[in-house]
Amino acid sequence: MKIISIAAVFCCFSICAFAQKSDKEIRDVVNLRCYYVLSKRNTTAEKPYRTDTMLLDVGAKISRFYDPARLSRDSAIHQLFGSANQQNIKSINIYKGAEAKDFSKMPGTVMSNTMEGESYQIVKDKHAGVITVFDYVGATGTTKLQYEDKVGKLNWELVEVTDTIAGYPCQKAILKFRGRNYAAWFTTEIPVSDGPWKFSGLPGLILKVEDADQLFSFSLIGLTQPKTPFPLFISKSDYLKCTRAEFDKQVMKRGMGMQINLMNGDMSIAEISGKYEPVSMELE
Amino acid sequence: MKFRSTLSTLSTLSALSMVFLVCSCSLTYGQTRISGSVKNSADNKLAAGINVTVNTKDTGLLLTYALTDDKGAYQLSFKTSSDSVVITVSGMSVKKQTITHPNKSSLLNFNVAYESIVLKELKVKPPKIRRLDDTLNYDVGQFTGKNDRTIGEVLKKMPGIKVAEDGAISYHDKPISKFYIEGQDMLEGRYNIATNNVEAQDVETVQVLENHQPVKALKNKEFSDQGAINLKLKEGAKNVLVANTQLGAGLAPVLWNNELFGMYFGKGKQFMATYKGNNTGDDSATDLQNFYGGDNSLGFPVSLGIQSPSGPGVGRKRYLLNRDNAVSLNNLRTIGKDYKLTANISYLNDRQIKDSYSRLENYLPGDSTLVIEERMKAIEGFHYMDATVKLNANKEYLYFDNSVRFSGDLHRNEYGSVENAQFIEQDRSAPYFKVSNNLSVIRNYKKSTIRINSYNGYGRLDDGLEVRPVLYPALFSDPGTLSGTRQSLRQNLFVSNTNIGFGMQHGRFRQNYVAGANASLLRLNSELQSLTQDGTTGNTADSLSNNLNWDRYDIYLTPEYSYADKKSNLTLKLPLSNISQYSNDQVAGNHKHQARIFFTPSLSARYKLNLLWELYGQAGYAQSIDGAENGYTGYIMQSYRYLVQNIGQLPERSTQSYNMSIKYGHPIKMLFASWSGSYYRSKMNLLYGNEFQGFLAVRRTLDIPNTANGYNFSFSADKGLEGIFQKISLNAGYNNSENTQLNQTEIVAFLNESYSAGASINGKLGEWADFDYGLRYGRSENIIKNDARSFIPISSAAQSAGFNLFPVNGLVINLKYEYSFNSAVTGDGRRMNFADAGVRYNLKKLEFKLEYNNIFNTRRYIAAAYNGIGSYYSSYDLRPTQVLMKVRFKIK
Repeated sequence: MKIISIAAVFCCFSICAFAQKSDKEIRDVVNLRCYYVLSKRNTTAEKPYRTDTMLLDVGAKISRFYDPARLSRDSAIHQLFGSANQQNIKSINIYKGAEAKDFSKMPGTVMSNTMEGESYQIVKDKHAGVITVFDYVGATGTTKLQYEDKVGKLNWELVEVTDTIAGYPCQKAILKFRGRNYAAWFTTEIPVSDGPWKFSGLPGLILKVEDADQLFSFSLIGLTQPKTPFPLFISKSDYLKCTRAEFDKQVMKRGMGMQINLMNGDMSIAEISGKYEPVSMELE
Repeated sequence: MKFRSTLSTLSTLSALSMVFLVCSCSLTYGQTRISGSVKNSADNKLAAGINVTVNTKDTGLLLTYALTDDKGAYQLSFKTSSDSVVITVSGMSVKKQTITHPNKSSLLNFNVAYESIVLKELKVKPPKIRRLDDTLNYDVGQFTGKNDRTIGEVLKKMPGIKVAEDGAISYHDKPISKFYIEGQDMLEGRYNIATNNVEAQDVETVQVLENHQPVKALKNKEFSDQGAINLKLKEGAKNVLVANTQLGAGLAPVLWNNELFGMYFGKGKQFMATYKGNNTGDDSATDLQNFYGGDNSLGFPVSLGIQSPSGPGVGRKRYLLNRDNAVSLNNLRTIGKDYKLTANISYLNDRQIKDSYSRLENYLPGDSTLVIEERMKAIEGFHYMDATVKLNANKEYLYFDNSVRFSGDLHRNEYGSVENAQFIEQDRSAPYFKVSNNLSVIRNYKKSTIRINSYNGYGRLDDGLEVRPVLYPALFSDPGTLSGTRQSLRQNLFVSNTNIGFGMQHGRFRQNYVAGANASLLRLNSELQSLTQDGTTGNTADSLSNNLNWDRYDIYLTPEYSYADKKSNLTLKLPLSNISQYSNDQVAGNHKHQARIFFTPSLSARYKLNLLWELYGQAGYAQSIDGAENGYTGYIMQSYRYLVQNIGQLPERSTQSYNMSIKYGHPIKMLFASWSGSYYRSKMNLLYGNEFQGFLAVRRTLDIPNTANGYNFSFSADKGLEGIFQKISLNAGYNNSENTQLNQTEIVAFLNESYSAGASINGKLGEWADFDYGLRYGRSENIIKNDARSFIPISSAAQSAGFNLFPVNGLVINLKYEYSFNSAVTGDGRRMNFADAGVRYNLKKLEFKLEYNNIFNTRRYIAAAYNGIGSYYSSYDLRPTQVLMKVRFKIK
């Protein structure tokens, strides 16, 4: 059983490694980069349990919203597998389920915890009015999926409340979206009809948005206009197309993530213990 | 009361609103509908994705908005009581247009012009220190003060990183093993070239690679406890030539200080060149120092020297009377995929003048004290040249490294004069050179590793010392009036060290075997002769000359066993060596052969408690035997007042040592601390001492076994902070050592005990000033056992404070003050004060710097310290007040 799983893992990785070469396609150039902090809170807690820095890269036609740290953590795991070959791996130990071990504090460990950071990449094509979500199931990205999300025009309602966020005068707008009520602050001084996550459609950039229960909150913490615009990549067709409903089903199969330690040629792979119980922003 | 203006969505409400619109048209507060299209005036094309917003004229409140569709069309509908509204058309790449329009339904088309808008940027502040696995990333921008120009100045502010006075960098109190720029080690240990010249503004991140194993073939096989530093340059500093120069002139006397620096970092190509020259006390040689240890295999065992004062305990810049020029050229090129070729050439010429008065007191048996007073002046000339070419491949399965090196000084000379009871002149010329080749190959085969190392070198030193007048007349029987003595000493040394290593891995255990052979072949010729007044040399007596062949062969085997798991590392080394020394003294006609077998085991262990704490322990036993340096039997005059002769027996030493340390490092809290303690005990077979005949000393050796031992404790901590104080460092130490020495004919045991403590703080006061303050305290006491006389403890303290003001943009004012105190000094020199001031002004690409050094014109540095069973007092002449104007500008 172990051998089969090892073989399976390696097969998947070699496919990933191969696929990665032709994975990217330049679709636009980034002329505005926005940094958002995403805070997530449990209903029972006062303080957020997790904060991550997310990036929104805006081009003339499309924009991409993603978590660079999570993607690089996961790609470190890819690379570790990619660099592993029979010559420098002498043994592989796999710890699953009940026997799972924690070696996060040991040198030479790379890990990806499903609960830490976001694995999705949300690409909005403004002119076509289409949102495409790229994601993968499993920390190692064994199943890459994409789906088109037809959110239509978001039914924002303007509210006569203003505020100043990050030095920009903002106006409030509210939205009921897939089971949650959101309040957003946007500024017409940045005439980009975009925002974090799947939000867009206001006459200016959304600098802050949170749900009424304050479980999810995105706040702008940085804004740069690159002097020399850099390419906006999106992943090409090796992502399996599915529907949003199908994707949501796959997500529930996710584990908590994995840790890989490579030391003296001994590779240890451990599942992170615990049950994966995500709280989705989308309730319907 | 919240007012909500509802936005109508055409898709769902269009039918309804049409009906509503028809009905409400006639009403006073009806719905206004404005529609139209947006065109680009440049190409007359319809513009999509443009924001069109409607605000009330009086309150400015946003009523509604629309985005133009892909045909450039928009539709707006709103309700308001005001008679006109403000309509704005905007987008990221169009010029914003605002018009006031009457509140009535109409068709409104816009022509917009292209214009990219500039937003006020919002800088994301990354954490000051970020950890990614075994790498710590220090964000340079957040550590750079306005007074910092070079990356070396910024490194000093980073918690966990220490930069010593000479520029040596250590991380967690361990010297770094590698210094990389953009992942490449071009400077090969002479990293002061980078730290003193690369500008902080060109560096994005300083990375500390913890437990760095530079040899890829040994990665995950051999553990390293040293860190390495990598400078990641900003994009703008890569693939371009960066060059700047500095010109400086000043008074008194005529001073000059010039610099030229250029660097290029491209893919597969790195280059750095420096020139520095000055007579202002900046030692240009510090840039050329090799912190990787350099080539120590070719050391000449004996050397002569003029009696010259040892440097005082203040910053070198305060006393160095120099006139130097230093050039270095460094180049790295990758060849093919895996190989890289590095070439480093440096040249230094320097003329240094030293001036001092010293007084040496030695307690002699009985109640007498020997006092040697000397007024010394020395002029030393260096013309040092060093060239290395290195070819290196660093792959997972193969490591190859070959370097060829030439170094030497073909015109080295020293001149000195001493005034005590008489005027003594010393003249030394000591040209030397060394050529060496070092080859290292490491190859991995599955679980095993084979390594071969071979070093071969040749060196030659022609040392000569002339002393006038004759100080040891009894040694010579030459007729006529003698004017002086001449000591000549020539050494030819060939060294060859070759070893082969084999390592095997079994899970967490690893065994390594290194077998090697070293050969060191020395030819030493020396003559001590008298000089007559007409310049000819007298006869050479046998007792005053050496003609010695000294060959040493070592064969050794070093088994090494190690265990490593995620948390611990254990290494046991069991080196066994066989040493054979053959000496052939052709003057005395003596052949001698001495053989020893030495066993020098050591055990070291490291345990990582968790991410923050680490423990380390080490114990070892070492044995050694000296060679020709204490083996020649004819007299050699090593300096004008030190005549050395050996009894033929070689000193042997065995030492046991124990070390322990605890480390703590928390990068998020920016707190780093370490505690360490050590103990040693040595056994020697011979006892050395000086027998004084007046101020002249002759070394005496007695065949009496003796011991020396000592222990010390030290603590250091570094804390990085946000706010006024940026970094606080503390350190403390205790040192205790016990020795035995021969004093004339008596054996004396003495003990030295010293304490030291220090603290330093640096910080900043908002945007307009930063400061640093340092305090050092030390106390030292010598006790002679079984002797009523005791030395008074010497306490010394030093404080330094620096203050940098930034009143307006581009202007920096530096103020610096130093204070030192020494309890053993009486009179003027007990307390010493130094002050410096400077102004720096940046005007576009020019940087002007005015320096005013040693404002109080403190002319002498007085020091007092213990020296074995004696005490030492010295007064060293310092640089006078000087004013210097420097201009630095970017050439490229």
